[in-house]
Amino acid sequence: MSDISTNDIKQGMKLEIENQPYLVISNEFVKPGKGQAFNRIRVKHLQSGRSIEKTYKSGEKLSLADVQEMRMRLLYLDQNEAVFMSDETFEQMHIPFTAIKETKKWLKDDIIYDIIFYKGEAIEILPPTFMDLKIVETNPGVRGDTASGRVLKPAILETGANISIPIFIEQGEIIKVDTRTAEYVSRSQS
Amino acid sequence: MSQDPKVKIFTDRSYQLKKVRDFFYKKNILEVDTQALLKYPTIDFYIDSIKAYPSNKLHYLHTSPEYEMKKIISKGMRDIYYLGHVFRDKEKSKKHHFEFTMIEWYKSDITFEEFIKDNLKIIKLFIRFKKFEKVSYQTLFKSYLNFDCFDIRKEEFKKILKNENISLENFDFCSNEEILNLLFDYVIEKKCSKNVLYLVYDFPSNQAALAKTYIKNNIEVAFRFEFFFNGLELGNGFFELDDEKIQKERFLKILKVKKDLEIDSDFLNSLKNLGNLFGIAFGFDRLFMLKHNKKNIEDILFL
Repeated sequence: MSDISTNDIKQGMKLEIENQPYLVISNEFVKPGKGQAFNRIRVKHLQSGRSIEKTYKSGEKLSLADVQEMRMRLLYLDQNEAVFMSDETFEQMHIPFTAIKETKKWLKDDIIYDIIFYKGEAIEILPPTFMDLKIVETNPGVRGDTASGRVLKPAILETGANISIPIFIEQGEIIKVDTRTAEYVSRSQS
Repeated sequence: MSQDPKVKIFTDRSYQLKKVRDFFYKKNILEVDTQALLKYPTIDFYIDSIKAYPSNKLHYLHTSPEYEMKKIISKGMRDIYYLGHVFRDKEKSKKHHFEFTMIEWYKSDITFEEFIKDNLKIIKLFIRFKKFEKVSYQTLFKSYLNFDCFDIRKEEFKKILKNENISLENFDFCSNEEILNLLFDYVIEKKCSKNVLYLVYDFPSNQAALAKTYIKNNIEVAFRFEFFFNGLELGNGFFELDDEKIQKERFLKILKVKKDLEIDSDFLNSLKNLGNLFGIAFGFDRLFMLKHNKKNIEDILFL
């Protein structure tokens, strides 16, 4: 991949450091009036999310990570993998669940996901922030338990995610969920 | 019509510029309006001139008016100041801008103490500080990092950097001087007490730049001093080197690394006439940031 000078590194860029992909959080230029300039660069590992700080002499070259993002539609789930397709190129991609990790519980046919590839390998699947999903399992709520409807009960969604829902929502209903926090938002509007 | 909040800052900038000029006027120190566009670049390991090409001829924007001012001093106009813009390539951060305003001034035949007193008056035009402390470069490193900056082997820095949680890449390509600079910025500036104005003096001789050096406790140190306040470097001063030969040697060392630079021989020639001369340059914008309690230089510039 191409090189980039520490002076040109901006927040949001992806760097390859010690053969690992990182996202740039911040890049601070540090320089005394009459002395060497340094760049203090904070990066977050694209897979583990762990952030580290590195200091470079200004003007040093770093490698940009070969990271690409693609929007792909989930075609179907197989035993150990998910099959996605690009709506633009119709290219299909088999991605093992081991690479999908946490996002597996948000996989639903026909939904479009952002897939991040590092050196051609999928390393992260980002679901839409909000998803409309059916409740496949929950205990019946006793109506009139609370006036505020704030009391929650556990539920399982059609994708397998476990979340807490208000007591007045019933099995079979479709709800809107925030996938960042796995929290109930509302009854589905659509 | 509602007024842009910056108008208040711009208005105050006008008053502050006048206050500085009044200060010098009362002391009978004359303003010099030197050229910003020069035929020769600044020669410094760590400061880069911005290039310009009037009529397709390579020129450089001054990074400070120092060379031109010293030429003027050598011709006999001794006590002078410059208040205006300077330009530095690659310097951009919340505390740096490619173009900034500098107060630079020189005074002949004055003691160090008197010169510092005058500079405190300039700083007081902008900020109030609860205490003024003079501390040597060596003492700062001893008290905040517990090592002797004049007696340290490169290998020892590894442990010090680790203790301070600094992950410095390409350690092998950094000189001791550069690592000291780094520790100064990352650690010492932050550990210094709030609202105390520091005057740091007696820098390592390899950081002398255009200052004289002298022997202190058997070690050669630079007669160079810097003001710091709340993590900001405000100004850098020298007891000015007046030895053409030594200056040329220092420049040639830099030219070994930065090969495309050329020395302005008129500047070198002017040094022998400098006499006993103190000089200092302040970042006007840094002082002005402090006055307006702004953390980002862009907040006080016309941008």
